[in-house]
Amino acid sequence: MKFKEEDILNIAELAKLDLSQAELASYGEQLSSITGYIESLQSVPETKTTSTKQGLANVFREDKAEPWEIDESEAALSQADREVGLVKVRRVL
Amino acid sequence: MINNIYTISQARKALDEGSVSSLELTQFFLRRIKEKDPIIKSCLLVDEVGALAAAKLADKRLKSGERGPLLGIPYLAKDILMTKGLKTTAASLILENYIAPYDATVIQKLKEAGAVLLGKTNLDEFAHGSSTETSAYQITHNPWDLERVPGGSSGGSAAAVAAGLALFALGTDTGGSIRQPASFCNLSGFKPSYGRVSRFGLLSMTSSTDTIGPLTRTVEDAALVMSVIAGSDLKDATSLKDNPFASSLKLDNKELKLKIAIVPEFLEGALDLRIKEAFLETVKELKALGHEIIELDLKASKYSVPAYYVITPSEISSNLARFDGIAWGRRANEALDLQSFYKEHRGRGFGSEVKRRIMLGTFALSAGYADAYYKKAQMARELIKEDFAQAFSQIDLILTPTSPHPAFKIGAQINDPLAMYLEDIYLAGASLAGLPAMSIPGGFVTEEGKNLPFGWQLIGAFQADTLVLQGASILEKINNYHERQAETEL
Repeated sequence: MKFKEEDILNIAELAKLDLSQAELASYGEQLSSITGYIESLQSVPETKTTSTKQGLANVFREDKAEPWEIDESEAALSQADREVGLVKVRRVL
Repeated sequence: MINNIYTISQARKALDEGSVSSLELTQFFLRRIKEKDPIIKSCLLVDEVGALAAAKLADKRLKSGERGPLLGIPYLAKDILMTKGLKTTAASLILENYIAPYDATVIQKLKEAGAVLLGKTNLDEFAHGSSTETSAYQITHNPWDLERVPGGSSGGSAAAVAAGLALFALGTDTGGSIRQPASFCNLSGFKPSYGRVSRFGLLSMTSSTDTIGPLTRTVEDAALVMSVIAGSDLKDATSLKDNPFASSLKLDNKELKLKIAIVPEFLEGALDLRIKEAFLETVKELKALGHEIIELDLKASKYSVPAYYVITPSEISSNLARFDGIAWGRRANEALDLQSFYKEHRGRGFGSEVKRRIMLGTFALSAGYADAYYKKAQMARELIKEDFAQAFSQIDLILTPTSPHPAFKIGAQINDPLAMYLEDIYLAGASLAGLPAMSIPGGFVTEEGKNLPFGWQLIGAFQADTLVLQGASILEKINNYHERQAETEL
């Protein structure tokens, strides 16, 4: 797959990333060379993809809330923009 | 006295006899960090206050007669593991001022065992890399040759232990990130079976292959660390039930005769001829010790790096979506609406390799391409797992070089992402299949008058973690290369 600048911009939009000029200039060629390399996967014969790791089982625990200490939740949100205890975000629409 | 302590087991003996205290040991390593780390640049954070307090507590426990494998032992942790009250940056600007509100399970277990956390080590940003050069903060230097990389992504952990700045360091291994730096720095690096160590509190990269393990000077030390950090955890839904390291593991078993496979294909192509020669010599030595060596054809191994570099970026693109800048992370953003806020925040906060992987994963999972890339990669992964499963029905362990070459120079590969990805050529297979694997010192080559270490990798069947360590212990004692120190360089 050859990536043109518009392809790179399109993927960056999907991934929610602003790219620098240098990244925009180099990613096309780099991604083309990487996808060129992984192209060899096309020769993989069709197999089932049910990835069941041998020996692993689901781990369950009781659905019990463990309240955080106040300083823990404060620390977790310490960098957020907040008002009356709520986290503020930019306008959506 | 303290100057002669290089390993956990030496320190263990001294602490238990009372000939040295944890406080003395901790002060010694803090001093060494102060002296040597301005050159090596392996640490992102040193917690002197916390370490001294933990050491005093450990001394109290020791005095009261308590004993434990890591009680009073100073260590460092890769800065991608959450440490309550301390910065956890993943070597990324996007988490520049992030203070973890809780401890990762491994950190918690080490705390309870009385190990002393000295600080946090450098890594490739979010563990994306094989040289530790993609860190947003600093370039770490290899103690064996300061012009070279320590490997990655656990390069800070490896360089620190090799420079004698701690008795062990925690690393993480998603596609080789413990094993490759271990080989570049003359250390033992153990990647446990997937699920053997709880991932809770590890910032996720590739959730289906992420593991946590130790970088140590000896195999015995790796077993000591594993005895504390392995085991099930209700907070990790993929953790394995038992801890085979719990009871004292007998590493040296003269009766143990192993059936070891080598993969002839791995000895061709990119492999440094000097490493190949040493490898064949080691195979001879193993035969002479009575182990059986057979040749193995891993047919699907040619798919391991291509599959890894589809699956990994795909999981990264999903896992790193959470870094949206809303509740935590770097701020300062002029965007007026939410979409451009995200783009600006992530665009500025993530470095080029992280963005490259997010882009690659977004592409591999996008409509119209997911079947051709992601699904094919999962099929390849199944073939790789089957290959290994079949092999391990007939053999005990697989022996390979860890890396095709010794440490490369800083800057040599940074602009060639594909070359960097090929660093994982012998390593990605075990990661995709979730198998335990270990790198141990294999010898040295001389470049420009410097001795540069390289390593051997042993891979075991799923859950056969202790057999890998037993095999590694045999291998380690053939030439005792682990006893060589890099200190002459400093």
